[in-house]
Amino acid sequence: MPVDMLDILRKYVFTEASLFLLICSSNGRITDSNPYTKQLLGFDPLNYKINDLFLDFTHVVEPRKIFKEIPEDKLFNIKTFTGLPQSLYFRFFDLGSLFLIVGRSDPREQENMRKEIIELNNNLNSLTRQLHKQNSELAKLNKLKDQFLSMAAHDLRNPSGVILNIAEILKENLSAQLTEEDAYLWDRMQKNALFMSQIINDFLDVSLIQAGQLSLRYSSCSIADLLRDNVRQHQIMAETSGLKLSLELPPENIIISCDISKIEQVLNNLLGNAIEHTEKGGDILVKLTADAEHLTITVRDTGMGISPDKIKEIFDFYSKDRKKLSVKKSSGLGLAISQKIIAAHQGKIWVESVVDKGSTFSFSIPLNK
Amino acid sequence: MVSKISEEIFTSFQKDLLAGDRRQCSMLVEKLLSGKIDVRDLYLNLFQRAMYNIGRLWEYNKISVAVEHLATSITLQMLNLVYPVLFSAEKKNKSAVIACVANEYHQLGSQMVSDIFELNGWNGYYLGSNTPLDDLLKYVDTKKPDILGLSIAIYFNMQNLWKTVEVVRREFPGLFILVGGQAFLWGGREITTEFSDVHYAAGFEDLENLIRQQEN
Repeated sequence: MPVDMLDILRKYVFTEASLFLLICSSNGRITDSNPYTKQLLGFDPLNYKINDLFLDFTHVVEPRKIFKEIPEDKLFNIKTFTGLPQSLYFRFFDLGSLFLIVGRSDPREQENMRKEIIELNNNLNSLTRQLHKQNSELAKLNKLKDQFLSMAAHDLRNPSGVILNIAEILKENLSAQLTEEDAYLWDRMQKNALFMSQIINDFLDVSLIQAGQLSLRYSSCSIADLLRDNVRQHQIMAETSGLKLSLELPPENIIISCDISKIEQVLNNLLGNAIEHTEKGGDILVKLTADAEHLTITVRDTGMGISPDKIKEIFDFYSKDRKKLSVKKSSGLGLAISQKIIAAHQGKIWVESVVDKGSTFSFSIPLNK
Repeated sequence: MVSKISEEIFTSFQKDLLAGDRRQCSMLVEKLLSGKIDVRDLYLNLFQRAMYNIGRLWEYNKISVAVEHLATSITLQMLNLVYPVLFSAEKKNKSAVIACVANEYHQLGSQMVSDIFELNGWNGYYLGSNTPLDDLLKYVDTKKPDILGLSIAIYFNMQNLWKTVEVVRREFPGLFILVGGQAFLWGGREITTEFSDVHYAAGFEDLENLIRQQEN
């Protein structure tokens, strides 16, 4: 090779070529490097020790102790600017007072890696697309299911109402002729028809909520009166279960604007659950408090309580334990429906509970609605 | 259709793509989507135009292949932002299976083609890049699509396309086969006369015309 060409090549290798080049003294201190090396490391290695750069030699500083002259390429790992290690094929030349360290990458490895990244990226995008497509199909199916549920509940509501009415009329007309056994069976039939009617109403509520069509009919009411009525209605049920049900009200009369029937629905649900899950001899306290902006109603019982893992999804429509946490004769959707009703009032509902000590369900709604 | 993609928007998007700034690209696309931009407008006048330009920059050695790959990767991710709008459209009882032939790794164009089918109310099943022939045949047999779309971006994959079309034609004689991709700029369109019922779409307009023909 002509001398000029060698000079050009030498200059090129030291200034521009994609070769990792280090020159270090016999004690392992780096005295020079080329631009490619600086770029790959992310800093100028001048005066660093070689074991600062090689992941494979972290404890040894004497180059001759690390490697003798290696006539063939050997794989070592260096630190790079990304923080990720890079494997290069190295050759070490012992020049007496200096060492020349040359590293190169394998083009096949680089190409394979590039291909792998492209394939991974492509696969990820294809899968993401598939996921979006399936999600959209599931959303459409879910909507169809909601529509079916709504239609079924709507169609069942009228006949179930008619059954309840006729059962009541017939009971009045035939009461004198019914034996004790017949009266018992009649009573069971009526209770079950009422239970069915309540479930249908829950399904209707759920379908309205899912369709975003839950509408509130606001009117003014005394919240204390509402609570007194509701507690009175539940008093017999509580006494039958051997429970003490009490109400605590603030001295001032608070007038709020709300959908009265919906708030009653929430109270019925909370009180019904409290009575169902509190053992004989227990206490249930309904308490009203208010500040300048909100009123808060709490229903505290001394019942079985709810474990922390179940509390997380207690207001979820699809909670696995919704049936266990509700009154036996119900759809188990009451708490989820209550949560949506309170949210529609711009309020919030929450629960605090200790297993075997009891639960306190609370909801608050703004006063200035 | 008047495009909502101004020259300023286009230049900014292309600049961010070339800089590999995924975040800026996402912000711009999300802003356009929240402004209810037509998906065709977005695909044609932003994604396709930018990537055609970037492809040319690579061909003329103005940018490295790494920059081109990064821009493609970002654009692929921009498609994900469109999907909630795209897949919510009402569906017709029509479907297309779209794939890149074996060894073809450029999937952006073919994925956009699948999306155009979705936009037209078809089910656009996308098999991705580098689809092995056997997998393709099995999928077509399962889905029984109205159209099979095959894409190639690199001309040296043309032979794979011919081989794929030949086998598909033999296995599914009546199937409408659509071919397309940047590779056809270098030739190969005679595939449409060599095999029966093989059609070439040069761009979105051609594609939508062919879709409409198949609907009637």
